[in-house]
Amino acid sequence: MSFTEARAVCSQLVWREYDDKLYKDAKQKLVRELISTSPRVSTLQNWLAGTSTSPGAAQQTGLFLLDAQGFDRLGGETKLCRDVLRLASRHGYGPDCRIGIADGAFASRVASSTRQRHWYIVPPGEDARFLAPLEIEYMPISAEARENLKELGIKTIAQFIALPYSSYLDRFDSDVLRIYDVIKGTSNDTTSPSLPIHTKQYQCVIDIGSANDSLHDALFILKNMLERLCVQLKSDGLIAEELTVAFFNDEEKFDERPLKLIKTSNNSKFLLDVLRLSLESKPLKREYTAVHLGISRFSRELFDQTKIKEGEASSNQNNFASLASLDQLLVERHAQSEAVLLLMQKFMTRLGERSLVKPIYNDQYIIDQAGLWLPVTTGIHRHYNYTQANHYNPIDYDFVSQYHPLSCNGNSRKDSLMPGLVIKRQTPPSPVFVQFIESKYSIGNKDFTEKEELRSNHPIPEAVAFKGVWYNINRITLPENISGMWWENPVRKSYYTAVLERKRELRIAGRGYGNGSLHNSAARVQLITVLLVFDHQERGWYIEGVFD
Amino acid sequence: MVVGNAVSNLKKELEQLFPGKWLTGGETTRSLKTGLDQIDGLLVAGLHKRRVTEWQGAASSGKTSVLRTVCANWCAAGYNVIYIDTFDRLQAIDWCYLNGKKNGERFWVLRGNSHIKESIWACEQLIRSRVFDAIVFDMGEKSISSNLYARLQQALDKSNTALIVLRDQALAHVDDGDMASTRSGAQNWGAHLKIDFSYCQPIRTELGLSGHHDDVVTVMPTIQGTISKDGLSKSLEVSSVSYVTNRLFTHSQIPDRRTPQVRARAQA
Repeated sequence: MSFTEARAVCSQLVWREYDDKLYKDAKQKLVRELISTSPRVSTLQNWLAGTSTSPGAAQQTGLFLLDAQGFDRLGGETKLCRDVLRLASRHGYGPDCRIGIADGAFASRVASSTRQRHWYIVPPGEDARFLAPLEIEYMPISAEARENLKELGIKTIAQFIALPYSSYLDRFDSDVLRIYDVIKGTSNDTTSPSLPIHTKQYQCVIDIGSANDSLHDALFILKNMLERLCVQLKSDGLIAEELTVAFFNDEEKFDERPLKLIKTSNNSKFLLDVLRLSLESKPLKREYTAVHLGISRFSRELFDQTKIKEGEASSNQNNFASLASLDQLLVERHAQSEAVLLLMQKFMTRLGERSLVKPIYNDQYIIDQAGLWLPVTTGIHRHYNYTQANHYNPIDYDFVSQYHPLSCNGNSRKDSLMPGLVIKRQTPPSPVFVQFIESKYSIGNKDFTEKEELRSNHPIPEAVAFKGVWYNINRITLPENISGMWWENPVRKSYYTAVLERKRELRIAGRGYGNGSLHNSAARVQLITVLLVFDHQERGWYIEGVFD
Repeated sequence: MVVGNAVSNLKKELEQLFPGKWLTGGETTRSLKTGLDQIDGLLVAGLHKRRVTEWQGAASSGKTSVLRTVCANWCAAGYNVIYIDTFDRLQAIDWCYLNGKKNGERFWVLRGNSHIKESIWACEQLIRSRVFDAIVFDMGEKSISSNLYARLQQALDKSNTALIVLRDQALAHVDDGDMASTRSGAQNWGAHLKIDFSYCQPIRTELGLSGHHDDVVTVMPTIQGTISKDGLSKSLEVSSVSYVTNRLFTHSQIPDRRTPQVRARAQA
């Protein structure tokens, strides 16, 4: 389903880029809660979780393994299921929560995929019998392997394990062989729940004991905290991706700001610069008594080699006599990228994430949406994507460029301008008064006066009042009628490009200069080119921008 | 050591004698050619790096259209260009071509600055970063004080960037004719080069498929300008290429249901 189709189904839908950390945080939160029901809980992240177990379903997330042994004296496995369901309901997952209990992880995963019941308990030692009549769709294997098995006439798990292991050897990939062992019970892969892994958090809190509002003091405090955190990050081989700093005034948190880093770093000086920029651009509104600083996102430090384009590398190899030149090129490129990244970090911290943008084509025909401003930070970060407010449809540039007027005019004069004029939009559009040409004609003995608006399919205005001044329309185009967006915010507009002129009388001193008498001697014309729009929805005329 | 001091003193003296015309060690050129013969062939050989160029005209005068062509030429030549859109007035579709596949992503825009102070801060940061070869600072109708010029010039001295200050003259100022330019010239003493633009006659039109004189699909006024430098000024005129938009999905026209007699009378 495309985004547009989804919007047609649900108008409240908001586009958000996939963020792995949000999923991980939600899973960790649920694991911490599930600990109260069973001592050994873990998320299922191995090969069993990689493929769908139910026919036609997409890849599933949110799978947890719980140790269900030893519950005989604690109400039995049924009570465990009830407890887990109650807990899932408390977090809003109640209707979708399914539980399967079996001897092995695969069998329990298949048991949990039943839709009719909230839980299904496979009796001890009955895993093979439970799995035998099921279709091979439940097996976590590739689609290609599944199709090949079907072509061989193997449709159920019973038929699958009826053949000897040697029949699959050298004919299918390792996934098929592994699931064969698991179903047969001969596998060494013992997927089982484990004790929860303690995740380390990097955060510092300093209570200064008295109220303070000095930026200098705040930076001094933050510097000490950052140095401590950065030492820990470096010792663990990690780099910060996002900082979160919060300021308290007597237990009350009055300011919290997450600071995304374009350039992941564990350098305390750089991180302090980012904090300083944030505090300078948005000063604290109150005095603070305590400061909390945390590394809300971090990742493992990678040591990547600087990337060189293939063309550059080959040309360098051909042309450069020694590697010294290549090293120089690399140093220049690296320095350039460092400078750009630092610059972007400054702007992002002070002016916002969407301040630095680049224009891109968008596959839309409404003038406002045919091009979009895309933040230059998009695609830079390796570990997570920023949320995009706008969803855009990229165009096939190679195809469009064949017909683009700029490409077609390759042999145009060197000194000519790019086609078309640049518009500078007015937000909001200025409503204007418009005067039409009056025509007078008679039918029989009666005289009729009719406005041009009624006379023609395209109402052509004669004069426009813009910013309190009446302008005559010197030239005007026929309207470009565009409509659309009926599924959310209907647009139906007629766009005119008009050249307005305001005839002004230049007064110069004549013979009667001494008497103070002036006379008109010349007329000078001032021209303005505007985008005049008739909004059919609003039934009004607007100037949406001027061509500059 | 003595020779080094002598050379540096000589450089300082030459810098004072010929501001902006002295090449330092790593520089190969001190100006950016615009690619438009009308500008490059008059008074200047392009726009000077490390100097402020004032690019002004009425709110609708064709100055940004000329500047877009200049920016496109720079991007095609491998220069990095940034436009500080102080009042968020640009429309993305007009500028997409600059970041085409051929040019790479060399054209950026700084938007969303709520206050002119933020834009000035951003402009200084951009100059000091030495990442961009040309910076366009759209100030709208805001006037530039001599203090601001001094700040920008101070930043430019340590970089290799050409700064273009784009200014809209208020309509009231334009109405006052030559007095306005005299007044603005007195205010903006710091600009190294000043180029004024305005629309003028003749207005070129492109007719539609019907060929009827009312069937106008595009209008293009002529863009005239004046280059002023060191008290001298010369006129220029920039030719432009007509451009007929070809959008899809236009809704059908309202059918003309008048009787032939009424229609004939109306056309008469």
